[in-house]
Amino acid sequence: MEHILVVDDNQNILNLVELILQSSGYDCTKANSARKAMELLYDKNSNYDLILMDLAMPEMSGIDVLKKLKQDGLLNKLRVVFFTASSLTDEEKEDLRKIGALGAMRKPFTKAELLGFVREYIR
Amino acid sequence: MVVFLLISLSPVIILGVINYGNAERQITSETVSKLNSLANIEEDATKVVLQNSLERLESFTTRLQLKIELDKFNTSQDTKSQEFINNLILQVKSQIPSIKDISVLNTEGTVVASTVKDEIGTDHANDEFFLRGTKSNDVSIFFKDTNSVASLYLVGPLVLNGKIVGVAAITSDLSSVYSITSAFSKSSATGESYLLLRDQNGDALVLTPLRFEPDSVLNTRIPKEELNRPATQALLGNEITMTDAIDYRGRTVLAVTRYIEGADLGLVVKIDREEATGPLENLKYLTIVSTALGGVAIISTSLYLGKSLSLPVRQLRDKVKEISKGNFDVVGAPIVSKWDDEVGELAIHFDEMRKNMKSMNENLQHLVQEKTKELQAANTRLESTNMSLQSLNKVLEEQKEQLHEADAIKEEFSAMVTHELRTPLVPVIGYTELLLDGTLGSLTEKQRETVKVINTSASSLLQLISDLLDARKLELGKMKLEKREASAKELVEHCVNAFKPLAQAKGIHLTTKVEQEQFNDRLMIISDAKRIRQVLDNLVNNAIKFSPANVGKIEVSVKKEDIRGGMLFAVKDNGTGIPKNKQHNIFQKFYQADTSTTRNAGGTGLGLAISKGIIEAHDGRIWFESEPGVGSTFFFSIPASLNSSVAITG
Repeated sequence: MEHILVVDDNQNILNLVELILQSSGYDCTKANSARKAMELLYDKNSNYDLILMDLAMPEMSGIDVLKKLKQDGLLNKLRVVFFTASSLTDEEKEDLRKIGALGAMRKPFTKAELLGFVREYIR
Repeated sequence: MVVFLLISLSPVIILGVINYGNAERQITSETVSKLNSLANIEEDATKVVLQNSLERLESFTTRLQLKIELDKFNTSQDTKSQEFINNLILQVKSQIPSIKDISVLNTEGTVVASTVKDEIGTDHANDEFFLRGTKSNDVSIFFKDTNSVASLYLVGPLVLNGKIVGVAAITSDLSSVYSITSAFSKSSATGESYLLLRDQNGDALVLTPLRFEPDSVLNTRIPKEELNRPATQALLGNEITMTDAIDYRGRTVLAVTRYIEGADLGLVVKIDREEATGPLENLKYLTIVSTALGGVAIISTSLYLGKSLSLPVRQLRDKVKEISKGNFDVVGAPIVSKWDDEVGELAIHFDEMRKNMKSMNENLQHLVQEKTKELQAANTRLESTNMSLQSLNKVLEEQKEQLHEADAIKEEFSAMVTHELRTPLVPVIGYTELLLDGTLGSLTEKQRETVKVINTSASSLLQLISDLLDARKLELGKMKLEKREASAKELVEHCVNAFKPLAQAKGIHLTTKVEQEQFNDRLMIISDAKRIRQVLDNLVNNAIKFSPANVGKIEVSVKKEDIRGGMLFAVKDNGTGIPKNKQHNIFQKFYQADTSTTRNAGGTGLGLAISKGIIEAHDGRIWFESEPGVGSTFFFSIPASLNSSVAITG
């Protein structure tokens, strides 16, 4: 079963995403802060097929997490995509790709949009 | 002093130069007459060599047996005849050492017999030597053979009973010509003669080796435009003497030229001017030494005279120098003049002048001091004005910065508000969808209706947030267009496909009409495709909303508007239409023709205002035609121009 790590500071959104992913047969782990996500990702035994992460989080943003992972040489083993309630221009999406993200999706989303997005980027 | 010396030395110098010039003229004329006699001899010798070649050729082309056998071979291909000719030419070759090879060609230009075995059978129909050889005896074709050795073709027709049966081609080396032109270079350091022929461009091409350029044969060219070159003059047919010609090394030479008519060859005999006038060197030294001796005598005399005259003048000069520095009080030693004359008088007048200048200077200084004080005062006033202007400027700068900051804060604020408004809608829309699609278990009909209302309302709210953000961006001129090439056909088709389910649910017939001028014409436009799609979606959504259920017909079309590639989009419906008195307000924000339909049809009232903003940001135009009860058609056009600005103003 493919394993997805979902990172968002909003618990309601975490639960919703978990529900949708599990109902479609994915294994799902939730992290409600960037720090929690880092703890999970730095665990040597962890193995995620996709990391779905919010961009705007307090203390540490999704971009900060990505940069830290890159700096510590972990990013080449991980597949990171973002979702955000902000409007992103094509330019901003391109910038995210440049720092190592695979893709970005807007919030809110329909169930079909979320599953389509996950299917596109999962290992 | 120097001028004086030059003047006194000039007679000596002039005499020396005249003497030298006479000697030079005499030597030059002697050299030229030598060159002329050499040229005459070489011209005659060259003519003799060419005449010999012609005679040699004639003695070959008149051999009757040769022509009979060739004619026989031409008609019967008899190999015996061919063998005869081959033997004959081998024999001729062995008798005359300057002949390199002989070939006999048939009238088609194919080699029938040759002293070079590989040549037999080769085709020379288009080669110059063959074409010339069919006309007359010709000994003027020079060429480089396969070993890059210059050679001469002797070619001529083989005529039997008034009919041409073939062409003889003899190649001869140029050793006899070389021996003529090389003679002169053996008896002098720079003298040489060389022959020139004319190339296709009319330029001179060197035929015999140049003394200082071994690789020159049929290689070195002298352009016909360079008239100061002896080679050019020779080929112009001018038989002249040149005393300041320039040779191929860029040296000045004495040269004589000859033109050999018939063969169209030029001959140049020349020697470096330096070598010819070498004997003049001794004379030159003699002239210089005598001039120098005369100079010494004159200088010593003038030094003695000059000293007594120039001492007082020098003293005067030193005083003028001091005064020019501003030191008017210089007195020093009185000016000494041996003779009580003009110099003594000059010294007295000079001292008077010094005193006058001193008093004038004092007055002037006083005046300057006063004016300086006035200027300083004015300067102080200006400085204070400048300072207050600077501080004002600083205040303005600060205010400008604050305004910028305020703008940035406003933008940041609206981005943040949008984000914060959307976030709580994520679970609302997400969970209601899961409730409706049964993921969370089945609902009663009433529950289902309720959840649907929540979902639709949340979606409307989401749309309103996006629309408000767009409207705000358009108002501030901050909407960024990401212009790329996109297919108008695909834009229309994707939009219609997306709305098909909604239209079908209401029983409305939704179709596209794409006017393609050519097969495969995808009707490309440069635009922000996402934004154009937003406008199309908005117009189609409106059309569905205002069209009657089950009988509604909507057609979305696109075509090229003009030859420059501007694009015209149209969304046509047969809906309620827009009342005449409401038509002028239709593109305003929060406006709907019939307020009662707002509740029925939903929508934010921002769609058309945003659409207008987007189209105008593309330098396009949006308008409509509507008849109440018949239907409405909304049009918008996007111009073909590629250079419209990316940032837009609202």
